[in-house]
Amino acid sequence: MQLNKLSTVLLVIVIIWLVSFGISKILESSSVSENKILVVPIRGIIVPDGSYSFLISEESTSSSSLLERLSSAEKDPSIKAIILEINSPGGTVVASKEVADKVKTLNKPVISWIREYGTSGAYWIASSSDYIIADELSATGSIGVIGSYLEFSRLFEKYGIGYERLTAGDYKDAGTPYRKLTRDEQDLLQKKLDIIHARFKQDIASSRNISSEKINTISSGIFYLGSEAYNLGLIDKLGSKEDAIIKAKELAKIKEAKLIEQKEKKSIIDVISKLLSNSFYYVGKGIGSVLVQDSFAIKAY
Amino acid sequence: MAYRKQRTENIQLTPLKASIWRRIIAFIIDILVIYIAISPLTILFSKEIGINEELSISSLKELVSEQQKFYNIQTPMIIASISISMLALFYWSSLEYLSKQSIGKMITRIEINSLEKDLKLWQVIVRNIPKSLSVSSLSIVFMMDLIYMFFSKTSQRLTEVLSRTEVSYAA
Repeated sequence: MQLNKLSTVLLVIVIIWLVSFGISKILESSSVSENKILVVPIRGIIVPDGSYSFLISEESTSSSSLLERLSSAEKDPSIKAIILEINSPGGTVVASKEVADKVKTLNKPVISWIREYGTSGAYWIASSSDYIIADELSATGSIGVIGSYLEFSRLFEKYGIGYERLTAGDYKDAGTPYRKLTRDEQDLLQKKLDIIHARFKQDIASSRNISSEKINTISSGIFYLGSEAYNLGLIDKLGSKEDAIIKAKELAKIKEAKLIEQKEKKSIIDVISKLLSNSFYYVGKGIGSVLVQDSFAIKAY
Repeated sequence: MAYRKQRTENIQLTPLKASIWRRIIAFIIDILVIYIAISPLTILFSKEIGINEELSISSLKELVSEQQKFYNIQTPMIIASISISMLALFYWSSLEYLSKQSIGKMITRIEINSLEKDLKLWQVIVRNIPKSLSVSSLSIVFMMDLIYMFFSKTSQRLTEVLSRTEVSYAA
């Protein structure tokens, strides 16, 4: 009797597994044979990895995660084109550059759709794609580099706090918020920003086929509205997400495609740290929240 | 079988109704067994709707609001969802019809009984429809079925009343 029951159980489970396996194979094959357009959102500040999100309360996108997702999209034969849905003010230099470099090497058409804003580092990424679409009122451009920070030396003086400078190497503490920059240090840091700016401009000029004279005139760091950017050749078309989908189909030479939105992978630690960082941000806001930021972080905002 | 004396003079033996906690444990075990058995479909399901891509409070909210969009664009997922419910129904109905017990019920030593003479196939199908729907999606029918059980004097689910079945301790 017990044996009968056991064999019935096993038989039922085996039947269910086989049927489930069969259905999943049929569904998978129909799904694989379907053409897909992958929408990759780039939202908030672009940072190298999730650990940075602890320092900033704003929304952020990790470049490591973006690179991973773009690589897997590259390998997936059912994905025929990629739309970068950009809504970002930029980010750190290396994070923005590494994504821009990756976009250039992708073997599939990449269309950037700038929604509210796609400035600085985010525009750097957009410029590497095959086609840029933006709304006439969206903010774009802002080709510049920022390395500003708050300096507290006078505040410290007021409260009788001194800064004991102990360094081996003259410029080791250049950029510390506890003392003023010397003229030498200012020149040195400015030179570094200029090098990054030059590379930024060079990349955009070559991606967008803009002459070096023209790029110098439009890379003052000012942002442009979509309509202005279109006239300057910084974007290809004024339009919406629908236009981006149509263009993606056109470049991929497909008539129909399923739209897949791939979101950033977040661990539970990221979620908790994000919640904590938000709390810390609002508690500390107004009493020196900037203290939690890097003393001299170069950002392509 | 566990019995209770209903009358001392004329002894009538009726199966003792299973406690709600045992039934809940049996249900959880069955859900786990079903998820293992339908693993090829659940893997496909999670891959397609991107559950593994995102784990955050805001995105869970987003996922709920975007579910309609996902279902609209992904017909295969509707098929997968229906298949999961059908397979769950097959699991409970076949085992309960053939041996009066699912795996969860075997482990918790409870079984189903017909309030009529013999247990018929329609009875096991009717009593298991809401449970099966709950496997692939949050079923309102199952919630109503459960709520009824908590307020019912006989501790039966609504579909148990309709199918004239009850769950009792097994021998």
